[in-house]
Amino acid sequence: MNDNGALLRSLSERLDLPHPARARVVIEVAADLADLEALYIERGFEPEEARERALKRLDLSDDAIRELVRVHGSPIRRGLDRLSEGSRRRGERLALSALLIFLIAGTRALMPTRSLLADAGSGLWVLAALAIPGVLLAAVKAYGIWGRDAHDPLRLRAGLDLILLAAGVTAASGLALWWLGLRWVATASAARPDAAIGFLVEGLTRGSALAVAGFQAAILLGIAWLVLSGRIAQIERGEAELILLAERERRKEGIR
Amino acid sequence: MTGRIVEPQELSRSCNELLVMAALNRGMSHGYQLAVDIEERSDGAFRFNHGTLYPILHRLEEKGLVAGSWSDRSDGGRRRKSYALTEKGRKYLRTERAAWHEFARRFWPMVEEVR
Repeated sequence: MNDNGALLRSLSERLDLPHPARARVVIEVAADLADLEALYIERGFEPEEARERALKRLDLSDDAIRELVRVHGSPIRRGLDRLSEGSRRRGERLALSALLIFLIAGTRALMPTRSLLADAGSGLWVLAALAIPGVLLAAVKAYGIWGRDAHDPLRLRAGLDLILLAAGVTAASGLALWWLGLRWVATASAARPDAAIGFLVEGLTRGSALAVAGFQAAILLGIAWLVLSGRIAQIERGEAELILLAERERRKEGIR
Repeated sequence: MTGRIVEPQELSRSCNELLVMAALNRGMSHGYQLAVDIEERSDGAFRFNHGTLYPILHRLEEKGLVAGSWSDRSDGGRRRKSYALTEKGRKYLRTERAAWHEFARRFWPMVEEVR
């Protein structure tokens, strides 16, 4: 079992991490293993001895594995990775499917209507300014995956969670604008009690429209993140499996 | 007036981090190159098992002290991950270096008393 594939498989099995994080570590170690082996050959070792030495130097101790799991295993990171890998457990898969159906149905029911956008008024520009960077980032990532057929998972994943951040900030801002609208109603009504009903209707209409628009943008960004991160996780998994397969083939050829 | 001093219980972790960051201070490098570089420059005194390097690098990356990036190889081989010190990392390195100086300044007089 003393081959690169065995080390990488063992590493993959010992890392108690969601698949995307595990695949990233395996890919990095696989590349270093090949380079270290090449370095030893360059320094005059026979290929077999060079491989032995590289394997010995790169084997990860239990402490190193524990530390890697600790570094990559924050609850939030784990949750996001598990969500993005398309959860392999049946219960999780069902829950995720139900959530997706709910989100898609909810988004469809809440599709921005002309009256909603008109009701939201100038506050809509604030929400747009917050959501647009997330939309642009999602578009760039989508173009990278499907347009350019890019397969560098690390580059694709870089900054991906900013889409979620944009979603959260947009939803929170919608709520904050609603609250500000209510404050405006209270202040205006106190100044002119005779027009209080009019202020209340206007404030509630505008505030609720802003809150709904904020949530709609957040849901759409969340769905975009889910789709993109799921695809990137697939690419990562595919790359790690390719490496393991290539190492297995190489081992077989060595035996022959 | 003294600055931060390395705590005895964090000696090992801090020493490893400092060695890695000092090596990175000389330029961007791959994980295994760092281990080789540290070993050779210390005449074999600091011999890293490369496997212990990944948790250190990933922890530093998580803290934003180093930045990892992937590069394609010109020969079409597997992509490799390189690491470079960030600006935050450079500042941290300077602070840690001072902390180690302070540690040594306090440590040696105590040990040198021994005859």
